Amino acid sequence: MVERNTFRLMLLILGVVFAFLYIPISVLVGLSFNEGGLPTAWTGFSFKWYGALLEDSDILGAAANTLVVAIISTVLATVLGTLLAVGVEIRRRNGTWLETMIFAPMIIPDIVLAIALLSFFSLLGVQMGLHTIIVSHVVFNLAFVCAVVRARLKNFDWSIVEASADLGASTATTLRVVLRLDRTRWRVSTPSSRRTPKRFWPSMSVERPVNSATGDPRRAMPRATLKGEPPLHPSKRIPSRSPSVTPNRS
Amino acid sequence: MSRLSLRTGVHALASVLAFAAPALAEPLTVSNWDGYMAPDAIEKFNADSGNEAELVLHATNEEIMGKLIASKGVGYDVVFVSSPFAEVLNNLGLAETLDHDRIPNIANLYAEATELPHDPGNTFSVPYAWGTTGLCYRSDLVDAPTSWGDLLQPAEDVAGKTTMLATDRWLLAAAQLDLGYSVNETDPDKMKEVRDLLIKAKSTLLAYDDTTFYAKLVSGEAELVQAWDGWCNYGIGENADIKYVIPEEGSDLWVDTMVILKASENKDAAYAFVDSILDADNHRWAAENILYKVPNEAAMAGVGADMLETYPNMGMVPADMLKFEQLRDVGPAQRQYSRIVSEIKAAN
Amino acid sequence: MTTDRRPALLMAPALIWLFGLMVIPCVLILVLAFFRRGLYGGIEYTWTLENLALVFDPLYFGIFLKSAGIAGLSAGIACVLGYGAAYAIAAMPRRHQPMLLFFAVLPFWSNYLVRTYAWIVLLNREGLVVNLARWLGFEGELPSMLYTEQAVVIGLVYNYLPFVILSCYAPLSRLNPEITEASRDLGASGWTTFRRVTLPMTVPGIATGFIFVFVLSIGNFVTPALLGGGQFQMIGNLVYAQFLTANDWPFGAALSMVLIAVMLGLLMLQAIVAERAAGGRGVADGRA
Repeated sequence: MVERNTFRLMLLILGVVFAFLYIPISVLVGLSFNEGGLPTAWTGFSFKWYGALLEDSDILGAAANTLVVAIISTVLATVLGTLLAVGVEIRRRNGTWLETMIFAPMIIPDIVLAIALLSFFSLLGVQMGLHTIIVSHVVFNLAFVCAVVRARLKNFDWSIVEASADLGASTATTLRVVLRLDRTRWRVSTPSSRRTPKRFWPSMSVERPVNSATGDPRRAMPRATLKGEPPLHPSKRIPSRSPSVTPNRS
Repeated sequence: MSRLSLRTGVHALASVLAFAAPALAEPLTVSNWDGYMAPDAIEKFNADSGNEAELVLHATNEEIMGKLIASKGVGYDVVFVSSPFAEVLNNLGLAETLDHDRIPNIANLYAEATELPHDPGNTFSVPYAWGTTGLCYRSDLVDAPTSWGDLLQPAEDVAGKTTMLATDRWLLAAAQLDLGYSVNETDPDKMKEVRDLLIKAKSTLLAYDDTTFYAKLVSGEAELVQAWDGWCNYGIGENADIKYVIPEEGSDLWVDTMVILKASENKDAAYAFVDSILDADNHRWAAENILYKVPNEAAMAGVGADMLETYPNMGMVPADMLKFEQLRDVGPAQRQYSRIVSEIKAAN
Repeated sequence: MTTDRRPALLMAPALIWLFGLMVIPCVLILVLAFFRRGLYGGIEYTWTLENLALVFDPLYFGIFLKSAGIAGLSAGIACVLGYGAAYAIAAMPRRHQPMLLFFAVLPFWSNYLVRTYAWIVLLNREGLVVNLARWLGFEGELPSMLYTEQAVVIGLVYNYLPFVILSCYAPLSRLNPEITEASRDLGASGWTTFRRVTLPMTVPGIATGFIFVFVLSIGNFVTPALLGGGQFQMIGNLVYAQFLTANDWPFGAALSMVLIAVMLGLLMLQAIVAERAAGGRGVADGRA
């Protein structure tokens, strides 16, 4: 699939796109060292703006507020969103209303959500503050977390959950195992993948071959990789050359 | 520190923040534009009076009005709004009827400032700053403009280097004044002419800009802009070639006022705050910092001569300012104004 | 595998949160669309359909269409660039792919406003692009690239490109090389293989990317305000203006209703496309 010329073309495309992505940000970072205040003329190298930043209590206060809001709302959103995603994926058959409600925070224009919550809080007599900001952020972030976790769960092998339950683990333990597995599945899966430990996003490019005898047939994914992946141990290789992996599906 | 205890700590902190706020004494909440008071005004007030005033910001009149209407004035004690919006607050019953006995410094105001058309006798609002809207330009790049037409239909070398204010009332005012109409015009036919003139003006415009137009002048990106007099002073401070002029058709008189909200639960502190702002020294200090004129006779008397020389528009006397028409609330015609602005912005 | 109650328990906290803090407040606001704006911007509780009718007024509907056009153009450009980048990443040695993907997505983690301001700096008349052109010898007055529709499109593409790269990468990385090999073995050129084999199989990723960028762009009001110089209104600015400037909440609510309905429709369309592609993929993969 990848010949010399094509490879060069790929590199060129990547180069162009990465330049597009990074030049504006680099320019901004570069300008932060500009002596002058205007972005239109370079008058010399200086750290003075960083010094001014550290002395500006308003900005530092705002930064502190932002951190508090970010940390708390992220934690809450991740917990709630993950639980929601797991629940939704276990249930598998979900009504359109449920799906819509889960997607809704991402498509409602922020201004509508903000005004709605402002009015709602006023109606309830709630005093505005960091807590209302946090609560409102969670609404929005929860939907994103749910979407991301669901995407990952779609490739999940539920037989592990079954196995765990069969072995006598409680629901809580099973959940913990499930979530932990999902993050570090390269450690648990085939020997082949152990040969090339993934450092960045472990689950991004490893495709665990699905043993269709125990795997959920509806989730059996065709075994698809690109060239360059280390060859599988013979015992793990799927017998037929065709990517179909459901010989046992009735 | 383990992750668990850090997380617990943060949660605890947040809970404390969340629940402590109502438990403590309610601070005085003042809403104003950013940079529209002296930088130490709030601290000074807190130190002098022992109150706990807190400043929150609003970017536009409409923003704070929206919040006040939504919450029926709850959550704020003193707000700085332009005069048309003070009128609206009064009409909606959200503004406190002012007891002048609790604002002794109100005597510092110019006589003209106590008889302003929008609130004669200052029954619900106290003027804080006032001024005009005109043309701000780079004298080294363009000839001195004389008319609003120089902005709306600029010469070829200036085309594409002009900006206008983005806020509805002032955007329309430029054309209203150019055509000789009132800045509170409600006649639909006349407003159609205003709209058409502004749509034509759009083709030579660089941008609508409320806040960074003086920076554009300084950098040379723009050469002639519509500006409030005080904002133009910020540009003058950075580049001495920048000058301010009021076109021959005139300007509007805008007045920014302080309003105490009827729903406020800290009226004493609110009155004390308004009074402290009107103190001659405080108000003069404010004027010297924000570079706007203040309607406080005692304060303006103290402004230094060198400041008046650098910023000539600060020396304008009230008698001259009162020649211009003050912006008033236009009532039902506001919807017409909004629609016209939408039409202008949607036009190609 | 699980009892019937467990999924419900898991979902409950999040659903209660969403229902109480999103559904209810939004319904309360959207229902305002059926009332009239009061004299000073409050609400007059008389039932009326005039706000919804006003949405379809030529002026406002025109703004809708223009926003859709800009959003569509941005989504299209983002998909072309994003697909190309994703394809290139997927073609790289596998061990490099996670890192490349990480760097492709990293700008997405920086602040939205900062990314938009970067373009103001680059594009303004005294900015770097112009200076570069002058340095290359271009004389004379360049028209301003900033405060135009083009600038807004660039800003939107820039902001959402990493997302498209991610969503296009997913199906590309799962592609079975044996199929493309088979196609080449059967005599198809590289281009034909791409056009008739690779592309159709990776359409779901493109569809997802396109629709999400479209949905996010059409409701966006920051980029048009900053990069468009306030010169034209997209539907996001219009909604913002109704709520915070014109204080016409009923009309703002009506606009939002129509906007949300359109976005919902598109998302459902995307779900259908994705489902059909997932089902159809069985055939494309050689399953008998």
